[in-house]
Amino acid sequence: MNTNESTPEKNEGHLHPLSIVIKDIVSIFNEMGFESVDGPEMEEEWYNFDALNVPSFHPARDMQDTFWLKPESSRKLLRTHTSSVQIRYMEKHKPPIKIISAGKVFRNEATDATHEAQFHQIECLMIDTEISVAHLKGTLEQFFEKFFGKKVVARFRPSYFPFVEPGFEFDMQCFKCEGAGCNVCKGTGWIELGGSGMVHPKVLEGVGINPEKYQGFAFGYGIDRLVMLKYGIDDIRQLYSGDLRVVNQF
Amino acid sequence: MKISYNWLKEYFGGSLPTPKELVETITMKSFEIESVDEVKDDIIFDVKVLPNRNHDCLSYFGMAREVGAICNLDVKKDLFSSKFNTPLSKILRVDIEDETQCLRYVGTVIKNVRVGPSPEWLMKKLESMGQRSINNIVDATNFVMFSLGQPLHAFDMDKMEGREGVWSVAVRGSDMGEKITLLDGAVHELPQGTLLICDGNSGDALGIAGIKGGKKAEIDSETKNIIVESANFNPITTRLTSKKVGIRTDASVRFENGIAPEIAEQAMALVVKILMEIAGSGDTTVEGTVDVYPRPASPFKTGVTLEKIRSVLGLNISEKDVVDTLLKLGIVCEYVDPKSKILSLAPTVVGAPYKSGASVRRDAPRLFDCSSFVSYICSQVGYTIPRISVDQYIYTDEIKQEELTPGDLVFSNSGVGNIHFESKEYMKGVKVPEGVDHVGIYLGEGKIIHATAHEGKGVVVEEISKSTSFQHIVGFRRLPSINLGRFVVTVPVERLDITRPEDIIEEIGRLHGYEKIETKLLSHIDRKPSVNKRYYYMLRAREVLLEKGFSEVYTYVFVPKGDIEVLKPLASDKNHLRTNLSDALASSLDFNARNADLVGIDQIKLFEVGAVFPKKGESVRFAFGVKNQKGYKGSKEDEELACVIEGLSRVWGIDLKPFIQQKNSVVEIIFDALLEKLPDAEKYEKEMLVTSSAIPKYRTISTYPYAVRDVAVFVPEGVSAEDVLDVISKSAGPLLVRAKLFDVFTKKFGEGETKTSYAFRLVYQSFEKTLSEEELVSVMEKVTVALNGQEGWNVR
Repeated sequence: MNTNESTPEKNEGHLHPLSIVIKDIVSIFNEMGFESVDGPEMEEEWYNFDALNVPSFHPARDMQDTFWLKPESSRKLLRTHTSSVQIRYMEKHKPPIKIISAGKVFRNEATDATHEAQFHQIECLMIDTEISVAHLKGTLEQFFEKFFGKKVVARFRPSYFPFVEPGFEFDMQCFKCEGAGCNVCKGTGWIELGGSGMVHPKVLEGVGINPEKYQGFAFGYGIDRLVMLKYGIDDIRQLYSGDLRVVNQF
Repeated sequence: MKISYNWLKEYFGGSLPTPKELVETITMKSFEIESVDEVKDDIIFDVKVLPNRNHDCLSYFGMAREVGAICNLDVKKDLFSSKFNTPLSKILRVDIEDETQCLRYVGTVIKNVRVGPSPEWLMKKLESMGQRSINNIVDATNFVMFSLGQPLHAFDMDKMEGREGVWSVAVRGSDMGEKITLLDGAVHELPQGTLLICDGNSGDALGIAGIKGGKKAEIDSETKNIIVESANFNPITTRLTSKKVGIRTDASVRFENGIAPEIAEQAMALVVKILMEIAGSGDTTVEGTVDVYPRPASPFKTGVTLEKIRSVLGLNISEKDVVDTLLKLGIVCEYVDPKSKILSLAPTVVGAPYKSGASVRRDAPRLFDCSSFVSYICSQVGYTIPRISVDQYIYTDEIKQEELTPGDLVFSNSGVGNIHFESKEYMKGVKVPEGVDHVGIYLGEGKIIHATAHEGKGVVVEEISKSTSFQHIVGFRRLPSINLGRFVVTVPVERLDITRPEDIIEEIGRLHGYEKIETKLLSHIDRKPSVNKRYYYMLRAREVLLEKGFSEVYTYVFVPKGDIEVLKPLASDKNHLRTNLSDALASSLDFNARNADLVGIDQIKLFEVGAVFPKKGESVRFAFGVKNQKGYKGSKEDEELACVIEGLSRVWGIDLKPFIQQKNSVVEIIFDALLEKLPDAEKYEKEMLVTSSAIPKYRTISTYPYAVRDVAVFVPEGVSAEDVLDVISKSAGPLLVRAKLFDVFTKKFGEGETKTSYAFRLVYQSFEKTLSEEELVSVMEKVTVALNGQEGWNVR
């Protein structure tokens, strides 16, 4: 038994670990010059899919299990990613664009220790004239170094997200074993963090930004996963249980 | 897709990197590998082909091409180069009702086949794919599907109706109420319009196009004469039908991702060759083939400048590296000067007739309209320019008339017909107030080349000043980067994913190696990021709540009752979106009250910030609530709430009354409505941008119930509560998760001795099970014995 626990609770509330991490993220990106913006959780099909180069009937729609809302004819849904915020922002702002958006997203899939129907994501978008994959790499490394408080090695693997081209999966060398392989990285030496890429020209065209003049990067990753990695929480459901046994540890 | 290492190796004449090396290379340059399994003398990789490569990589040949490119190996060509030169069939006719639904249909008649078991090599291959061998004919079609990615089907011709010596295959939509019995015997009533393969003579349905074959013309042991189908079906139709009828097959998965129609022919060549080998005998003959391919497309071209490749990747790659990298993928490219190529190419199509709405891929260079002409010429020099004149106008850069040089574009408004004033398919919302409906390419010396419906009726060269089409010029425009050399890429037919410069850049990036891209920091912060007002005021409020002892929770958005219903909920009690935070917060208060001893608190204080979804729309709210445990002697619940309300009014500088809803001991604030009344924030306060420092070590929580036992002990003077606790902890062991001192008093005893009583509330819990009464008795016994064992201590 931890004897600290025997002392009475101080009369001070505890911030939820998700909020602690979101505050860290917003603060770090703010320092890097990124504005934090919001978007609705209940979205229109257009912002969640079509405008992100995922047309109707495209097999890529199967990549995400969507919570559609009634009536079906309204074509409303719970956003499956924070990427929809990109579109809403770009419709109203011209480049240079430098934003992040952290918020709740939803996937219609069975829940277990690593999957929840509601979870949190962060989206990052940077558009200007000469933005490259090298900047994307640099921005990711800079963020994660500040977040984990130590040097981070990132790697890119080819991937596909309809709203970027080229698209990457980005991994971070395991902070626990530094690549040797351990239980955190399941022996691979790498931790998958999220998806990223150079914004697809069709996405830019769709919001009236000329892709011949402007280019940029976007990336997104799960905040819950970061929380779990940072604090060693093994079940995502504990984040939404409303349980002070969890929250009061923070 | 499952890939057998041994099978893949055949495409490389038997030499391939070790499985371990192969996994590493595929992972870093192509696809994720989901699993690697050793099966008998083989290794099976489960390759997670990326969705944009399902066109070409759901096949061994596709995967071999990919592996050849990333491992720098030559793929053996002779495995697929079987020449296909069968005669035109005299006894088969094929009719396609709608050529947008069936893009190509190749049918071949083979007579006198011998149906029987497959040879061992074939059985082994199908087994490695987890497939059951059926017979040599069906197995051959499946083998070719896995080899080339083209689904095939074979029909027993003698089960179809021949009329005057002619058999007929019709591809048509199903009638109302039409039924089909599939190969597995299941009868399906089809939604009207379902694309079917039918016996054109009898009208019987033989299969659902691209999805599954029917019982009617099934191959059996008696089959003699067959019709083999290698067709190409509309991906969207296949996908929708597959969903509607609830059947997903290896064939439908391939069709719904789109396959190049050219592969239909290669697949037919291969399957005929194999059938002749494994199901042929002396009298087996290929009678002939019918190939209906109404709208073949010319090779697709796109292009990119070296400058763009470097700028997007952030990599100083050389021209030679670009060419070499693309060559590895079998992509041929030439490096051209776009302007001179345009000027030499455009005049070669003078005289081509005009056709409104002519297709760039299927009609050019035979037929043109004005913008398809420009689009075609541009595509030949590596520009993927929009199809419609107004979009071409927007795509190109404005120049002044005096800057006009050969190769530039001239746009006009002819005043008649369909004039466009806004982007149609390119950049949403961009307007061209003058209106555009015509375009031509400037050739110099006052001459223009364009496709016109007037006069010459086709592609003509005219004096601009005399052309009736250019009486009202609305702009002189220039192709972007026209003065830079350009790689013009002819995309291999199977690579339906490569359609724009960025797709080429991706191929170069991943093959060249992303690890070669060095990280770069964004050079400078050109502006201070604006403040997010909602976040700002949320943080202010949070400070108040934390200071007053409230802890934050995140509850679920999905609830049993609400205004907005979920179409397919995860559970029947999670079928609505919440309309308030209070209900979940009240439940959370109760839940934590039940655990209060475990957490060690006797007043539960919670808050949540989050979106709710009442009828009138989504909005963000703030809620907080208090629950006092029985016997709690501190401030009352209402006092706590009032105190928070006062604190919030202070930091927000606003009267909260109009925005408050209170239900029992939970207060909910309509935060978004309140926010509108608050001024914008200039900048974040310093503490709002402080990152967390300490990383607490998280202890996971037990899902088993806890039990509470009290113990009180008299101890002599000088013994502290800590001393008592120490003895309790050591004797109770790991099941004791919390101990709380709840009562202390001193008492004088007869002999003038003063003793102190310490009463502890002990909370027990296991991570493995629910503790039984016996276990609790036993552990309390240990504690009692340990306490009584101390000199002068007596458990009361």
